[in-house]
Amino acid sequence: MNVGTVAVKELRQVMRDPRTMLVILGMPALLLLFYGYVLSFDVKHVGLAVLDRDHTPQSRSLVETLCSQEYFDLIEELKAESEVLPTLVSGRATLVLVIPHGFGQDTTTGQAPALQALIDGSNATMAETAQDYAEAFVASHGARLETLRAAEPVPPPLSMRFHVLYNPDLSSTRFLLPGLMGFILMITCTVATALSVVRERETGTMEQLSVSPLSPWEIVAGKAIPYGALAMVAAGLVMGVARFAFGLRVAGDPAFLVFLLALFVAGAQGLGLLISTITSSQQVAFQVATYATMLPTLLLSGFIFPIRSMPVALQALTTIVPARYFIVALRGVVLKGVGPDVLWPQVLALVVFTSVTLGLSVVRLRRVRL
Amino acid sequence: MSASAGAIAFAGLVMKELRQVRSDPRILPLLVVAPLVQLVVLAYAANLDVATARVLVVDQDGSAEAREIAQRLPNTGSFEIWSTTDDPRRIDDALNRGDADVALTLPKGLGRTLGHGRPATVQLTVDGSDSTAASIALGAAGGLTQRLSREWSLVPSLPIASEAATQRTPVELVSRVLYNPDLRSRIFMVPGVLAMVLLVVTMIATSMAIVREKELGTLEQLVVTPISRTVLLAGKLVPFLLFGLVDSVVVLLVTRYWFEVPFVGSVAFLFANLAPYLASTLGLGLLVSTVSRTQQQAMMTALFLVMMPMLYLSGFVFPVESMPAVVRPLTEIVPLRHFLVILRGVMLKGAGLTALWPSVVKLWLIGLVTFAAAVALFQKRAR
Repeated sequence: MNVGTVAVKELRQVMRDPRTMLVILGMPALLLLFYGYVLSFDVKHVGLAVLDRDHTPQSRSLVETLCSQEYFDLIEELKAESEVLPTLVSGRATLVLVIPHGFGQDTTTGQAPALQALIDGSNATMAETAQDYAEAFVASHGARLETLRAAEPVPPPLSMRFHVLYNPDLSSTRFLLPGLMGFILMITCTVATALSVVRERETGTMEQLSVSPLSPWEIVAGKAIPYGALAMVAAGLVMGVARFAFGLRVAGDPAFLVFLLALFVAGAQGLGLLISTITSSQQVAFQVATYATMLPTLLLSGFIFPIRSMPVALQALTTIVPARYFIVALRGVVLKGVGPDVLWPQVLALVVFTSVTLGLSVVRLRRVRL
Repeated sequence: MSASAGAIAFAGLVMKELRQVRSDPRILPLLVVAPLVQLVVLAYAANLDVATARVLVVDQDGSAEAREIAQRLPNTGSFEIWSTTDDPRRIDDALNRGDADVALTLPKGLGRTLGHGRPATVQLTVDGSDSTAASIALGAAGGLTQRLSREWSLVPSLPIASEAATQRTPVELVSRVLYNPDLRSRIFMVPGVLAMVLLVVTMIATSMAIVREKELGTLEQLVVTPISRTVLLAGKLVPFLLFGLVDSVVVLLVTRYWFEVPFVGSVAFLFANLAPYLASTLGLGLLVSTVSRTQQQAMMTALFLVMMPMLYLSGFVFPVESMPAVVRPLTEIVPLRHFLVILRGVMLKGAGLTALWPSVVKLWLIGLVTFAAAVALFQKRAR
């Protein structure tokens, strides 16, 4: 029961430092709450400028259709063609719609008038989406004109029915939240664990622990359990924020989700312990821990940037980033509702990660002691 | 102290600082390695281009029309065929595992229905979890359907052709994409890396260097020397300013010639606006060092209170326009946000002062205020 003794001591130590405990418990949920609102790929409120050469009710109704939802904001009505480029260059508008003279008449007589859209392509994602939106709005506007004119509309020979699974509103927040959770948990767990051990080393109490009859296993487990418990509470708070602030319901098995979280938290702690065995001061431990977790988890985990779009060498590098597997598994459970039968490769990778980091830190701890 | 003595003291301080940077094993990697690693990793990894969606084709019909629909998918540039089957039960499994991103179901009798001139429907099942990829797939598939519809309605063997042939698209939209016609997201991301690198070099390195002297007690020694505080401060900041400028030139060259990001605008205008940006980052570094006692605190503050908000609130990755209305005003005080607008405007669009003046004014304002506040606070604390 030596593990329990170390765990109780560690827990008492954490409780004595309420600020640290608050940071460990509250920080992840707070970060999620704030960044959950900010992080979004949804393209909305695209700046729209219109050069209306027609000035008919028809042209005005087209502009109204475009701005009828939150996708386009009418920034400016241009007077002359010379104003088009300056509007785009300054970035005030992303899309300039040019309505040609005679547009209104053409639509009433059934001619096909051509509108022109000039799009600022510098932000590729936004440009592509803005183009899609504009095409969709124009098409629906055209279809409405068509039904007004034609007595009996002719259905197109081929149509497509769309069925969107897992995220029917196509909200990017739902996609990013699991990644953000992985990101936050990875950093806070690793850093907190690494610092707790190195602090003992700095104050010299680690030596006392290692001359006690405790085995390295018991020290590691005793350190990991209280922080693990705190991290699980923090993870619970994170899930609560995701549920109540962002409406993210867990589609899959909650027990499997808890298992995944525990596995990942244990692995992140193992990494923290490992870092603490190779560093001597809190400062170096902090630096190593942030660099080892923050950049790879941000860039190479698929959290924000799609792994399949990376060059092959970088794709290979992502296979050693543990958050990559966790995020895939988390998205699987939360969004798709799948279980271990589908996610076993990810679970396996996380088991390997956890055993390697915990195992190595025990080995290192033994060596430090000798 | 005379002006020349001030100059000598200043030069001495700069030399001392540079020597210290050389001898500190932690700062040099931060100044040299971090920018290079950031540039390479960010430029290659920070790629928002959506990869082609993998399609599972469920062809229950096997007719020529069904095959044509499936074959034309890859031509849109947004799809690649992952597998073809006639078993619809494979859809759930393939999407659950993430082996395929979309499934196209071509129902039995599709060819016959079309042959009789009756309208037919196919189904596209999309994994929506990655909303960006899903929207692009939906758009591309919808476009293909419309094109096919138009083509097939012109085929004389179809009875509806006589009516449909005369029917034209009611309104047509011709789009032209400027500045980045291939829509490569790297062109948008790489200039941002310059701003990030400068942030790390000037803000984090400055704060670490000052706090280190504080920890060692050597800052007190400097304060009690007859060197004036202004000279002392300039001596501390100028070396990092130099590093920042050298890094900027290197990063810009790599951006232009290795990543082939066009540089359309004026280099002089860009460097003129580096000044307020660097004033703001150096000022933030100074502020961080004033409020922290240890290097660890400085690092924490710099990372969580400066770096992360800068990353997320600047439009570096996530568009500011889409943020909630409460958060948007907050982004106005982030210097990186305005610098990014200027940087991207100058490099990609060739914009100048006439186009960018709102951002330029805001950036200068933020830079001057931050720097002045930081210097005032530093001098007050140093007393």
